[in-house]
Amino acid sequence: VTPAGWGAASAYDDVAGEVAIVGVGESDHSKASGRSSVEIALQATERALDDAGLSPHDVDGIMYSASVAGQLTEADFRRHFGVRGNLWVSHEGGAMHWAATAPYAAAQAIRQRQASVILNTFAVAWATERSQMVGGPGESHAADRAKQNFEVPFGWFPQPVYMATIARRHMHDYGTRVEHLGRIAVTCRQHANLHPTAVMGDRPLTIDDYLASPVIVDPFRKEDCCLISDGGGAYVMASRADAAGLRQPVVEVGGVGRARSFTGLHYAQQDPIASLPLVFAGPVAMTMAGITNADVDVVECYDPFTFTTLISLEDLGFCPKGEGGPFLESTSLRYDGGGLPAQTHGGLLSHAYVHGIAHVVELVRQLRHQAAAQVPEAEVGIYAGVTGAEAGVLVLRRAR
Amino acid sequence: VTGAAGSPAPSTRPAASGRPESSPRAAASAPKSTREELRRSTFPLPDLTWQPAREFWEGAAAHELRLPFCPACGEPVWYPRPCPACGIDRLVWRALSGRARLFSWTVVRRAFLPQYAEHLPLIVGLVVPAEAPTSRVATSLVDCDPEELRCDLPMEVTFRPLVYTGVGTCVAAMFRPAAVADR
Repeated sequence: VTPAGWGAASAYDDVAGEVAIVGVGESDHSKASGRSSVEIALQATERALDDAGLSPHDVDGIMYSASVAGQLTEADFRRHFGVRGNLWVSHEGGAMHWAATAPYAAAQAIRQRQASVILNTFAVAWATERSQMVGGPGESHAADRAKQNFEVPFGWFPQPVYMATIARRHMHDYGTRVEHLGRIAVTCRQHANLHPTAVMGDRPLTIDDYLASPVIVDPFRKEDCCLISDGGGAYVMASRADAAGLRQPVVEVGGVGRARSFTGLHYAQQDPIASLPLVFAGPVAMTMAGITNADVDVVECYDPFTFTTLISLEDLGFCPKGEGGPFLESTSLRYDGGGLPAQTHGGLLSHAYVHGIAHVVELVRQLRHQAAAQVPEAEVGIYAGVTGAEAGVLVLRRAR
Repeated sequence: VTGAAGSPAPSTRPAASGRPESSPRAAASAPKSTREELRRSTFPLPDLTWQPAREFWEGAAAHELRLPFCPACGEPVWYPRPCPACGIDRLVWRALSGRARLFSWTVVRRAFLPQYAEHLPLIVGLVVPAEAPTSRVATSLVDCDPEELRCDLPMEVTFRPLVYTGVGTCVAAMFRPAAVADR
């Protein structure tokens, strides 16, 4: 347990209004498809470039995560599209918290004239690859030697087990109930039912269905836990000035924040245990954007579990710590509920487990007013990404 | 079985963490890739060649719950690493009373690793040892009806074999609700 100061934000320059997301694309999302993650990323890339009205030859920067296997590299991109020019390459891209912070790195590259049209992609084929934890969310955690020696032997592993334990404590400390988690699961599913490519698009879920579903890792039911999917997404960034000459309504980056927890993957030892480093990243991004929580029209939280959405809303300051349950009783997360629209494509729970890249795609569509479950007059949105010890927060806004 | 009440008096011994790895196997084994680690023949049992964990598991084999403390500030340092307050890496392992409270728990009904399947439902959680109130120890919860568990319930250590069929076994510090008389 870290006694004081359990995490901290990165020092970020102000990049407000410098960069826009000019094109977005999703691959087909599915259970095991037999496709490779690179094929999936290429499909999303083609769709994002089409969406922007750009050609692969316009791209002079490419971003992906080097720490997730099978990502679309500069070599893959060149080979597939026959692109020969210079490419600026950054490994500070991808999904999870990087889906929030990639625009910060892109802003720096554009400032320094290293690139002008930058592609960020992420894809996984985890449903195809899944066996014995090779591929999948537990793999990197299984490599941690403290976990191997102090957690794995007892079966306190992997993520569903940690988060269920933490959720149980949140319930004890604050009175959170399974019905609160159920509200999140049901809203996500309702949104997925409206989304054209959501994996659970044709599978309705009521609160009664939820409560009748067996508990698999107490207090979580299957519907509290994310899918395992094949799928991916891509988005294209350019300067705010260049964006104005392109096809789509301009959605600009208002603010970006990044932070980490000092306890790393050792969630058991973090104090406060039921908090995410969004606590530190959120204020950086929102201050940069010059907004408060009241300005936010739509929020997309990285949601491996329903409970993660609940504590993300707390940690982003939409309600005080511990009051996520009562907040959900008084505030609808539905796109048309007049409360705080969230997870408007269905999230990792019901859309696809593509690690947050589709959350950003959805947020851009919301702010262009092109979403399936469109929030009326959405002007400002937040993506909150968490992975391992890190968090990233991205504020996007519809340019006036 | 030696319970909390029967534990020997606290003893101290030099730290494992920070000591150079001396066994040839250990020296040759670091660092490993994830997939190599998952193929380790003793997975998901502990890797007893990893020095920072050795005292914990040797303690369990001797029916002692041992945790590392900083010799300068006296605080527990869990998991073992250089003391975050003092930077000292030669931690001192102490045998504790085995009294603890239940921080939280879960009942796992799905095998997230194939090796866990034989033990379902798994009742696992985090306990806070009486002498290390800022540390949470992951453990198996035994001799209990999960319906009776609640956060902050007094617990006591009990040493039981951890068995993975086809892999092996070792003695582990598990916890059970404390006898009512001891609460």
